[in-house]
Amino acid sequence: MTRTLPWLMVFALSGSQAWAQDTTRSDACGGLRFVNGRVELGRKLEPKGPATEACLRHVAEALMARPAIRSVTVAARLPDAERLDGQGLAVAKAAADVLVSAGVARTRVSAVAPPAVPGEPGQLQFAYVERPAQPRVAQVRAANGDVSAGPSAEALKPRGVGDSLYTGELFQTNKDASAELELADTSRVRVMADSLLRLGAIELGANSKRVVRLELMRGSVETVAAPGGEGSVFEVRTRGAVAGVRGTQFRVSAQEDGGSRLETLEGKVALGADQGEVEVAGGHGSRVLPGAAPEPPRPLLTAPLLNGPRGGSFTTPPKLEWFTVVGAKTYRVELGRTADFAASARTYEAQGQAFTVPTDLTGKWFWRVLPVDADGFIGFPSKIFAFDLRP
Amino acid sequence: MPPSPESPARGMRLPRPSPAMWRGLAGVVGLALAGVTAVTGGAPGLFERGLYDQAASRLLPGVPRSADLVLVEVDDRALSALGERWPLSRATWARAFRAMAAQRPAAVAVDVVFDQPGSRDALELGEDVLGALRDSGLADQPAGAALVADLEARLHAQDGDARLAESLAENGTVILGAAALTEDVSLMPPLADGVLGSPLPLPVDSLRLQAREVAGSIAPLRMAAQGSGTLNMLVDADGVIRRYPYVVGVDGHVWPSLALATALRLMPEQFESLLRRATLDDGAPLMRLPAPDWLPRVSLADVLQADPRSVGLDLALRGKTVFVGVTATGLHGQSTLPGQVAVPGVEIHAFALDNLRADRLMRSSGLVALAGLLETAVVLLLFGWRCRRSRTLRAVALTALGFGVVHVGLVGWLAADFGWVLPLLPACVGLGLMLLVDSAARTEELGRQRGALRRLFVRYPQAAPVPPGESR
Repeated sequence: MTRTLPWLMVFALSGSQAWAQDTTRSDACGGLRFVNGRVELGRKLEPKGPATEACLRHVAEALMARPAIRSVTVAARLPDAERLDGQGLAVAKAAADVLVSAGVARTRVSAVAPPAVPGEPGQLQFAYVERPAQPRVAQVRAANGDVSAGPSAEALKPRGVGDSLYTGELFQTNKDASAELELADTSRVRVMADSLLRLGAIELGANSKRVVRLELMRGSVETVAAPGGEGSVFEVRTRGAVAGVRGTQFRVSAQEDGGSRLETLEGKVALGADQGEVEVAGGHGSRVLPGAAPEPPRPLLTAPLLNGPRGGSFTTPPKLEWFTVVGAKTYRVELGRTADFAASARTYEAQGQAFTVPTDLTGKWFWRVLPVDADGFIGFPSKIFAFDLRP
Repeated sequence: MPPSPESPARGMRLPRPSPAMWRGLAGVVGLALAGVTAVTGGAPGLFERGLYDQAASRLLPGVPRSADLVLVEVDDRALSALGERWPLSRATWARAFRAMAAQRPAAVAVDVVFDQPGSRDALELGEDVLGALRDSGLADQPAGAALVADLEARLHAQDGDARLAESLAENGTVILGAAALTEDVSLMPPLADGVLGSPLPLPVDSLRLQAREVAGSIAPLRMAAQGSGTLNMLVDADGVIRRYPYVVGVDGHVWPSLALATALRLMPEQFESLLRRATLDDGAPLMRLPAPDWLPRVSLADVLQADPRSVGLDLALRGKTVFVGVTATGLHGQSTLPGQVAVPGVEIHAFALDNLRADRLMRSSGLVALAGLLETAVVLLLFGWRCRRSRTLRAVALTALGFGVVHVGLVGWLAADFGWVLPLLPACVGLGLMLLVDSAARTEELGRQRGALRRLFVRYPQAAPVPPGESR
């Protein structure tokens, strides 16, 4: 079995490179995730009380926004002393009634009262069943801000972490929003702000052979693909070009006017257009202007060398500094709660060699810098450092 | 042709290896076999599996009958009585678990994975009808409202997945099956980490059974059940199951098998010791085989059709550990055990549980494999030493036979009384080769001496003096 090495791809159609603001809604449940048939809450949900009812209504809204979910089971896990004489089932049924009163069809809600885990306090849990006829092709792994999905642009509904996505569905991020999707072949697609992506066919075969086709209709995406077996296909289509994986690690960008831009970090990537095709080797970039053939490859900007901070705690917002990269016009500064910049990531544009962290960013943040040249080509990312802001 | 300068001079001979060296080489062959067996996971080695199978099935004591284990089987009679084909509907399973719950078993281990939701076509049609009734305004009228309530109640009853989840929660002791996915492409949808509950606090790297992902029942059923355990078996290349994987490693986490999950549910106070036993032999020890018909059986048809107050059903299930699986003709996976004993897979989980809780597990890797290597070395060394002191080939053969008998007896005794499975063949092969080499050397020596004597006596008449007065 032949396997390619992991590779990275970025496809950007718009000039907007701003990452979403962290607009994660603090709902009554402390967060909501739909993962493998389980509704995971940000906190343990007490069996009764006003806060529980508010959370139940929020869960009901989320369930109704997901037509693929066809039934939900509410479990009241109570200590044995509280389960006597059917009290546990009564609590579960009361919670189910709240879901029904909030709009979930009664025929789709059931209640159970399994024994609690010894030593744990009583809590409510939820599990759901999706329609098996629709194989999931992707799942929302991380989301910042308002993201939505649906079969058409007119039928987009809010989505959150853990939600499943299906073949043919559109996935949209609003301005100041971003998300990371995990495809069925474990590839990851980072959908930038103000983007619209259609999930095409994703087929998995034996010996890790896979076929993945995505259509980027607006905005930009960045993909970290899983290794594929021999004969695998991974394509991102835009209006003007098709980027197909030939090698290991690369980045591609395209512009809103129909042009496309490719930045290959490792291996080779084919950038195809009607007028021709060019293979861009590692460390080089190319672009396709509307109606023209792909330009010859050009070297990418090198990774900036960071000056600091390289760690430590700060009581005031620190100033992030780096050294000049020859040929860079601007710099993209990325901050994230995790080192993979998937969770709560923010992106800023800096003109010089320094950037002062906004005052609202408290806690631990990872940061890195990418140089951008006059034509918008994004160079290699810097090393990743962290800082801890504790005012 | 004249000899080349590099070739040895005519008449010059290389020194012949001594018999002791040949014996040593033969012993090294036996020792190497034992080493290979130890490195490849312990006994039984590749060439002694058949021997092990015969010994394990005929000579070693089997697992005695357990009074507290029972198999509820989906047999031919159950399918016939239910009028259903496999797989059974979720509503039937719900009835079955509810009926078992009425007898208050200690635990119910299910050799089935409900990895797909049941059909909801009729339910969705009913929901459409309900929606149409409400949209039309008929539901606001008394007769329409009654119709809606009736339809809702019927749809509620028809939702098999929900009813099954309710019955599992009501039972409160059910351990569901799961599957560790070892192939690139699986028929079952994989689940993310953590969905089978909390992983076991065990090191994962050394386990014999490693999987890419794990699949299990649908989320509502997992939530309602008490836990899940993997149903995988370790099948050797010859198609025989000799080891039971009590734990499986999946992406850095360790998950329990159905037998271990059930044991942990039954004996939480023995958590540490159960895990210690389960991790013997890299998490998959060799199994003691059961005696024929060791597991009492109850047909699912009886469970469903008998009066819940039935004394017979009460005696059969109350307080017992119930294993549920399919044994109907052509539906169950016949697993071949050593000695060509084919049993339904669910029975293997049952006697794996019995082996685990009674600590009847057999081990062959790690220290036991090292002990096997040492024992082989000692046997061969002693035999080599005795060979040099024996004057006749007969004495050597008797010595070899004696060492062989002692070796076989020791291996059998360790296996029967301590559950230590040491390699049998390497020492026997070593003894045989050493005996062969020794007999060849002795035969050659005898031949050489006989030749020397013959030459001596052939020359003697020629050299004999002629008596005076006789002409030649």
